[in-house]
Amino acid sequence: MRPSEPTMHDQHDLDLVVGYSAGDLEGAERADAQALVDGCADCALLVADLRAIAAATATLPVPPRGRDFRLSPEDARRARGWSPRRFFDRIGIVPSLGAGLAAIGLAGLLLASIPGSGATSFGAATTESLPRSAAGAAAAPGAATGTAIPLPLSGAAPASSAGATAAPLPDIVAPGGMLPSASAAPSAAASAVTAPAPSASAGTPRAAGPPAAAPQASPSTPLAGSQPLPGSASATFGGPSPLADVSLGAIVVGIVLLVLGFVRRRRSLV
Amino acid sequence: MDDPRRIDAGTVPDAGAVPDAGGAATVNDAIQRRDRILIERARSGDLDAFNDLVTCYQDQLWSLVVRMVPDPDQAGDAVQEAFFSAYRNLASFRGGSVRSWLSRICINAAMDVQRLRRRRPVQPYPEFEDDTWQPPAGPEADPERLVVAAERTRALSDALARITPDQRAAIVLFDVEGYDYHEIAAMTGVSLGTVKSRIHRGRLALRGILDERMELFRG
Repeated sequence: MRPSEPTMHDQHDLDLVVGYSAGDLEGAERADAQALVDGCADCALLVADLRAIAAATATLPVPPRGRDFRLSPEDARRARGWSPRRFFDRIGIVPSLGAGLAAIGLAGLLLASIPGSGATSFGAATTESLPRSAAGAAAAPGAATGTAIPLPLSGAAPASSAGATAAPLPDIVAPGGMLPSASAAPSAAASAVTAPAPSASAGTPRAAGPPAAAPQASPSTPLAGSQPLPGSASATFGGPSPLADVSLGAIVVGIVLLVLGFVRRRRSLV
Repeated sequence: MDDPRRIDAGTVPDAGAVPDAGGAATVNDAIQRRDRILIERARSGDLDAFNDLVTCYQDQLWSLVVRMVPDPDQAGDAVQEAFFSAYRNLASFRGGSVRSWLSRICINAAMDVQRLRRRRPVQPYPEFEDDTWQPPAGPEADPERLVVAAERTRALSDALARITPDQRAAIVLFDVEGYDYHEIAAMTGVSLGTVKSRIHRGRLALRGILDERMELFRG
């Protein structure tokens, strides 16, 4: 064995040498490691040191056991009993979190399914209150002339009604959460939002332009230039409410956490 | 690759009394039969049967955990919690080696304790810092060798306390407890490659920590 230069040893594959010292290599790897050990004094010293450390570890003395771990009847009673802390210790934090999320999600879904609770889908009630002609005019993308009312329909902001003298209906628009986006609309439409709006109950202003010229907006087709409100998971009226979306998400995540936690727990005990 | 010198997971507590491979298998069978009977009785509510299991395995589990958890008080808590957990989860035992089952529960308890220990650091292996404490001496021990052995024990224990808990657990299970790579992978829930990597890198880390004191281990 010849002494090695430091730079040479630094370039040697230490993982290979460590694997060799543990007897984990076979075939070509073992031959490569053997060559390193035969040709490099530092690699040979490393192997000897690792084996010496392993041998010393195996004979490491054990400190005396200071207590008896047998269970008393009281211990056994407590171990078999129920307490919230033990329940969570036993179940684990991950499944507990999962169960909590799933429960919250279920509650949210229940709330979202109650009609008139305010948490239901926005679409139905709002769309019902809209005159169809107004809706049609509002949805007309090519209504360059005439007075169109930018009423929201199908979750789309009618920002494309360029040149229209339009009045948004706050009492209708606001609950639906579909305010026309002035920034996204063409410049001509931007002035429309400044017009005062009569209330829906007093009679929605009619579109001055011919309604027939405007294609009826499909409830499921958002218009170009439309912009859903932030927080709305679905850009369409009649779709699931944000609460329902969030609840469903919580349930899915909760179930995944529950399954993961129980699988991990089972693997750790069996 | 399994090391042939390694013992089976169900090896008897006093393996030194085993005369040969055939005898070991016979004793292993007897041990497993005994353990199954005790488990069944414990499941039916017999606390004495469970405590018989504790008596059989508490020394082994203590020696396992006290090497994984440097603070003996916390190691004791981990072993006690492991036996509590085993008692609560008797129904989850599905056959096989009781020793391996208990060892796995102890490893989990030890890892839990070490997670807490990271938040509350303690003096590792305080009894090794105490000069009055010495490892059990054999009849051949002489004072000089005892001093060297004590110093080596202190240095190695300190180095073990400074590597990662995962590496320490793998090294203790392999080098001290004699489990093979497959058994350690099953116990710790990681792949075979991860077990090897932890052992290799742990030994390399130990060598790095002990670099200045390697003369204690050479020759």
